[in-house]
Amino acid sequence: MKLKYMFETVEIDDEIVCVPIGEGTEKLHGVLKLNKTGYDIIKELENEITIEEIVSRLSSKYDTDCHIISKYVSQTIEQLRSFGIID
Amino acid sequence: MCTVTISIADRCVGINAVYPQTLRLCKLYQVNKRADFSVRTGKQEIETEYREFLYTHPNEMTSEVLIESSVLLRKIAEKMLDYDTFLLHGAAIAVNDLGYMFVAKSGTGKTTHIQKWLKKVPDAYIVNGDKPFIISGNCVKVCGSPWCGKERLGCNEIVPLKSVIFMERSESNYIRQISFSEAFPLLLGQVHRPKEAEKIKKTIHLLMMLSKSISFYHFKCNNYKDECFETAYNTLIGNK
Repeated sequence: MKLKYMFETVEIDDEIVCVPIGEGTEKLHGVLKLNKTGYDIIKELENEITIEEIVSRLSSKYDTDCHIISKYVSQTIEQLRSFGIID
Repeated sequence: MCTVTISIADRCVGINAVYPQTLRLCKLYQVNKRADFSVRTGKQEIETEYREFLYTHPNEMTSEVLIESSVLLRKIAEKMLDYDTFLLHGAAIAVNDLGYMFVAKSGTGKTTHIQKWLKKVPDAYIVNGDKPFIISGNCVKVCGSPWCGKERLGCNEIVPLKSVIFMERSESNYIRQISFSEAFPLLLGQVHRPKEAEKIKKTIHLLMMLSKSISFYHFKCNNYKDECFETAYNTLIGNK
């Protein structure tokens, strides 16, 4: 899976805001507001990747148990999928 | 082709139009100066957009002149980004030479509301009733232009922008200040968004600059109730 659209990212008041650009400008209405971990997930999705690979990379990055990361990643992916942002 | 140079948002813009009626809209802004840049339309381009409009808006009226005007505005808006200037949908009013811009979807009541300001505030005037240009930077300014809505409310003035007020229809009147974090998605919803990725990135960057000097408000408004003007005025200007 990967992101369907490109995003431009800005930081506002400690929040990371992703604005759809290119084709996403017409297809998506609104912006994504993310915390740091959510943004890390979005960055991983810029290229074709599996959930297991995302979990593995973020577990290493944050030195956290895979089980904890896995639940968060799965929830985030489902939410992004419901917005129509990823394949 | 008909040609004119106009001055808008501190820039001189050369316009080459097919229909002379289009240029009559620009009469108040005409100057005899060299253009910073030029935009042009073509008959085929207008005809294509006219057919597209009729297809996508089967119940609405338009004309080739209106389509040409819209095409010119879009081309100017996209070029203006090079001058740190963007187009925002809303009605801007000036009080004591400071601009207050009411932003909302069409039909919310922006024009109705600012007309109450004209009646109640001496020396208030409308800068642009529909789509003003905003010059971004350390001092943000709101600018009049020929593209000021079907009621033709506006004038050839540029004033510093003090506040942006996002309007929403409501049963009661209530206004509160909001953070830039709340305001940003609302601004994006009403700003002219080019299709090219680099231009939308530039637009986003220009919007971000507003956070430094502009106050943002969310205004739940009922124009049918008398206190709607006082609710907004007392918060935005009051005794400051």
